Amino acid sequence: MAVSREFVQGALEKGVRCDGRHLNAARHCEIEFGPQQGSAMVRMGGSIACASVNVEAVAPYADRPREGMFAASVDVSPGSCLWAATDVVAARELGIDMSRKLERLLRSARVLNNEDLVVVAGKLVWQVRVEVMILEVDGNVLDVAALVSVAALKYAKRPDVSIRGESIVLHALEEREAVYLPVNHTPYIVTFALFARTALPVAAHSSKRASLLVLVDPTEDEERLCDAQLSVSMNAFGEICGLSKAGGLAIDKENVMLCTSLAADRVRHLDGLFKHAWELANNGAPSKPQFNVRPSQVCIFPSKVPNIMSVPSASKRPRSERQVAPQAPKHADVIQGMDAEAQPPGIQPSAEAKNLSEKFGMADVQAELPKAAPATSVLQSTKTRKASGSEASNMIDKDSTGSSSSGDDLTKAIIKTKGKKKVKR
Amino acid sequence: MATTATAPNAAGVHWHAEDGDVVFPGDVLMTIPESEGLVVRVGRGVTRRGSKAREHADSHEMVALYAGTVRVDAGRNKVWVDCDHAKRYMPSVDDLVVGVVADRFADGYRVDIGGAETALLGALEFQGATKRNRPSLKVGDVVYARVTVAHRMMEPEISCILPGSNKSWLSGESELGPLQSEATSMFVDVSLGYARYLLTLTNGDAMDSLNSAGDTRSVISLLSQKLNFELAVGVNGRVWIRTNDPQHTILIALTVQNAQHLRIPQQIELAQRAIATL
Repeated sequence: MAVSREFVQGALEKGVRCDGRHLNAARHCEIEFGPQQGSAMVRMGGSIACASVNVEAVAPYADRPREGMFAASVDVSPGSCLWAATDVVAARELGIDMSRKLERLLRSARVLNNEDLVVVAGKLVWQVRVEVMILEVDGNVLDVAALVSVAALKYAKRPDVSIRGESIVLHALEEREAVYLPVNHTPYIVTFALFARTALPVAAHSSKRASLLVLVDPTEDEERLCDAQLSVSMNAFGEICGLSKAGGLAIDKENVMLCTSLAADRVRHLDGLFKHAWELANNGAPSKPQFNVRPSQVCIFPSKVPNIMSVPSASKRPRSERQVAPQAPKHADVIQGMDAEAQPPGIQPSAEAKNLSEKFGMADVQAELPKAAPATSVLQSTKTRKASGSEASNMIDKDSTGSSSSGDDLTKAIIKTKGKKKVKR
Repeated sequence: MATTATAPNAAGVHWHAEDGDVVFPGDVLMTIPESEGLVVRVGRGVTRRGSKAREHADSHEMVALYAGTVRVDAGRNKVWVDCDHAKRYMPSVDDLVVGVVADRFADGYRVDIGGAETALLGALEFQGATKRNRPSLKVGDVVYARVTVAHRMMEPEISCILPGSNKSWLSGESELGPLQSEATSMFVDVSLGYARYLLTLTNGDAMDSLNSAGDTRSVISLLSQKLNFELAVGVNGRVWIRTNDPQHTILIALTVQNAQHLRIPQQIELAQRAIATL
């Protein structure tokens, strides 16, 4: 499909998108776990991606003995669309860009905690790699990649471990059942394409919101032609884990609020699909239990583990300090998040924040949240929520000069609404 | 391959495949002896293998270029390979294609026709164009053109001159040329086989044969009963549509595009539903 900017704009002003959808309508989405443990496939409209998770037991980095390793990568298949075959460089760049965004999402939303991936500190940790392959590109591939990578991680298993004296035994599958990776959160990304209106409709002059056309789940053409893209990452409770904006258009906070409330709707839908697919995978036809550990690594004894003492340490700090003091988190945002955890929740929202959230439908989102959430999930959500406030400020794209002036206000607005949520709950 | 019929026919052609066979790239379709006066008509998807000097000095091997179904008209020595569900276009001479201008330079344009390579369109390759009086296309403009050069070693070339027609591009009556008014037009990608099917529908002979088969209704003809639109089908799998209203354009485009996966009665129902939404 190919269209010009004028055409898309003209159709959007009339409330129709080039594939016949309304502005707020997303395409059909399918999530499929399997066929192997640690692999998943997602389709969203014409975009298809599959992911596989690779778990290996390795020696930790000498300067981070108490952390496992986690990496995400995205590859765009040359056959995924017509341009990817002819323009290999562009396809690779798209893959690199997405891997960066995806890794940032998975790390900052703490889908996997590196600290949880330790078998024996300093000796053996899990190295988790999630590899996403984009099979078809039809727009909104970042959302698809995020969804499929979280699904694959959730479905991945590692062999069970037991420590007998000096030896670490990774149990073969016949011996003991493999265990799921400690996946704590399932964040989703919802991407919006934003178009600036050429002329404001007369009736809408009063609202700033009407200055932009906000499109959920953009197609490839819309991504190519739009003025800006806003990716909202959010968990199932409607809590923002991050925002990422590309493009030079200035987005006012009214429109950011609109996007977040639309994202909350979309995320709730996606979460429903995710849970349904999860149940199908677990209660449906029993799939062959497999995990992606090479046979050579199934049983590792200390003699086979590289001795970390002999590895020249990259860190200048003395060993004793490293062992005593807990590892300093890598990212500033995580520090903030951890600090926030220590504080009691319940910052009183200002009247302004209340107005804001009521005005833009955040109240509605609140009302529809699951009221009787189990205690564990509430705990989890509190964690993400606290990280989310700081995430919002960290993840707003520094490059977008257009929005930088209003960036601070915007962050405040989000944090304030967050505050309000805490109180309500 | 289902058959290995190698008996020479009257003209001396050895057939290695028959109509309806499924072939893969490189499969030999026929062997043609070196003889005077033998005419073999070769369509898309068929090429001559290597140099004739090597092993078959006295004959030519014709091989399939892509995976698909062999179509043979043995009586007229015609052979081609159909690849209906393919999306990637391989240029062949005299194909009508819808292209997008990707680049412009002093004496021509580089046009994306959906193939592995972009095609060249000379600046004067328009009906009635002169050095002083020629169309000026921008990057992103859509043209309807005919393939004039398609060779595996060369960049394809296209032209907007239709032999036998003398309508000037200036009058806007020429069949080929820039497809105007981008604000209300769009094109959709369809499979190559469906694009050909759409072209045979607009072709008079095929229409007659459909008439005799009792099935005159197609998506396009049904839509045209209710809507005014302009439509160009390129065999490179692109269907360009223009109406006065972007909503109608989208409706037609989506109907035409979605009909490609349906059987004819379902296509008709789809078109009727689309009309009902108006």
